[in-house]
Amino acid sequence: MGTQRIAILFLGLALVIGGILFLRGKVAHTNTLRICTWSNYFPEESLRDFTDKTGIRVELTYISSNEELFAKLKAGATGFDIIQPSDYISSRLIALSMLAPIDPRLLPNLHHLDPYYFSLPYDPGLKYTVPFTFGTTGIAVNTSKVSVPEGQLSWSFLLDSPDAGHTSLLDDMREVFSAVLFFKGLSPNSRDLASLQNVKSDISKVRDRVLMFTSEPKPLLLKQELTVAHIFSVDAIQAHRENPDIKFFIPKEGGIIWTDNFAIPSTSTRIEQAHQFINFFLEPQNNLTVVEANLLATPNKSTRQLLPEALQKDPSMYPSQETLAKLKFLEDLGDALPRLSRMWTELKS
Amino acid sequence: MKTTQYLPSSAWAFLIWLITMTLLPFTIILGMSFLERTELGTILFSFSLRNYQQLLDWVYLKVLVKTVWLALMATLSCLAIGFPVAYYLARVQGTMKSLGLILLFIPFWTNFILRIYGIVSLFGSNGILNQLLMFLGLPKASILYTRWGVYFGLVYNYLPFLVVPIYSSLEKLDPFLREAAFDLGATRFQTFRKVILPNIKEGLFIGSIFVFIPMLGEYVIPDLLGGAKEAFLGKVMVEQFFILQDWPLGSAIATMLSVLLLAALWLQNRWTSKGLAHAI
Repeated sequence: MGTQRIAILFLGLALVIGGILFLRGKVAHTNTLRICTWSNYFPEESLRDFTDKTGIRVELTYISSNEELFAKLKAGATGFDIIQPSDYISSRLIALSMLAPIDPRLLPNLHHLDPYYFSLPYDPGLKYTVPFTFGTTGIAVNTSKVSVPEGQLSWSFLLDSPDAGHTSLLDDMREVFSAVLFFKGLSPNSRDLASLQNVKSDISKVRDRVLMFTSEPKPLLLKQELTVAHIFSVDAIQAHRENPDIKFFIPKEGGIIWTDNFAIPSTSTRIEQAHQFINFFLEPQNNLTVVEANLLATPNKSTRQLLPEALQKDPSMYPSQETLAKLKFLEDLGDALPRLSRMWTELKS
Repeated sequence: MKTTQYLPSSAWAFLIWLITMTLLPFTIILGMSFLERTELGTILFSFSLRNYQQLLDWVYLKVLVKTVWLALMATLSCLAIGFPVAYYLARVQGTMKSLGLILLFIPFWTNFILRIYGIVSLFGSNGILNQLLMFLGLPKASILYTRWGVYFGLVYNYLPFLVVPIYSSLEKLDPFLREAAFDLGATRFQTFRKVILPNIKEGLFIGSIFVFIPMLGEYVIPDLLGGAKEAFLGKVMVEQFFILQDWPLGSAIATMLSVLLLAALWLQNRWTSKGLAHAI
């Protein structure tokens, strides 16, 4: 009997504590913006500045992938006022009417953005999103181990690598298919099954030659297990910082570009404050604090002018207009996606 | 006072845990495996067998067969290495026993991912093994990022999980049984086969199942030690959930794995109860 009472007591206690925590979550809402972001995007001082200037407090939740963000929102996680989806998830969220429209009248600093970012395929005119940072996919080469030919590099340098035993491809089917599609002069968003089949058999030949697939080649490049790697620009820039011999190239045929954005979920109840937050970080000085802290590439042209000369002109961070014109965003493949996924499994089976 | 039929409250706590943390999630996964994915990656609430049909595609069957084969080989290797270790630990006394048990458990003090990265530095092209080989004037060995790397990783990681149940069933075995068998003129081999093995086969079986099934779903080891060059079931399942947003298909794979586990446990149950009947 005694133990049973104790059990009931515990259960009651758990309910009370749970209730308090639940209510506390609701109460904390009053003057707090809830932001769902990636780890190390916002240094603490930048958020303190925001709170000091506006009186609005912020509470951060971190995600580690877009899919996690999407799953959170679909599972009914309400209460976020700002989220930071990448381009391809943004287009899905827009299609599912899960984002509140951006009101440009509340964003007087919007003009600081480079005009390029006003005509992105996933959200032309920036009706639902505001770009925060961007990056590309290309090839990193350890130039002390592998010599790089004069002129611009081609995707063939990766696909037919001179040091295949120390070469990696991203473990990401869209990126790997894109690399070959670019090489063949086709669109990375091709849904044509015949050409995708061709690309698949090319990839399986490359697979037999290269050392591995990995989405985190940076540590292996630094350990010299890899000398040539299919890589996201952010990782390559960081690797370059630690070992200047490691250089990043966007192939001449073009490559993938991606953005991480600000967006406001349609369930947010603090639309105006959310705009205030976005506007605050569009302001060049505030933007600079964020960008410099983590070496992010910014779509903000005024911020870019405040950066040190060397950084401003670094082509791995800020591709030239000519290169930019050859970069493509990955688009949703619709009903072709399951087939692509089957091909990906097939070539690895 | 009549005796109450109520379960003790601790059992209730366990029951509640079991229902909310095991049964309910499993039911959700089972249910989801009969739904469909929309093109936008959301879930369509209409009954469909398409996911199971898709699993019958030869590509997925090939992945399944390959995964089962690898897990089976790794489990058998674990048995071959693990059994003598467990046998020794159960029979030896004193310092060697405590030392052996400590050595067996030490790897668990380190995080799983760190242990895997340890293997990477051991077997990498500039790793310790290759430096040793080069020092001896031998050619480099490339184990990492091949199927052998995955196999080695599986055996290394799951071995202790198999040694422990075998050890505990051997430990429970009455040592006099062995002596009695010898007294009655049985040879060492006969004693092992007729006396020891029947008494510990449950431990052997359960240990093997609990190593084999998680190996089927393993995806970190194939990624880090196999260089993700081959598709195994666990990776295909994880990709459905996290990359393709095809939760229904991912759930169908998860359900299939659970059904395999249940079938294995059912077989084991039948096998041991039959064994008992035979013994009587």
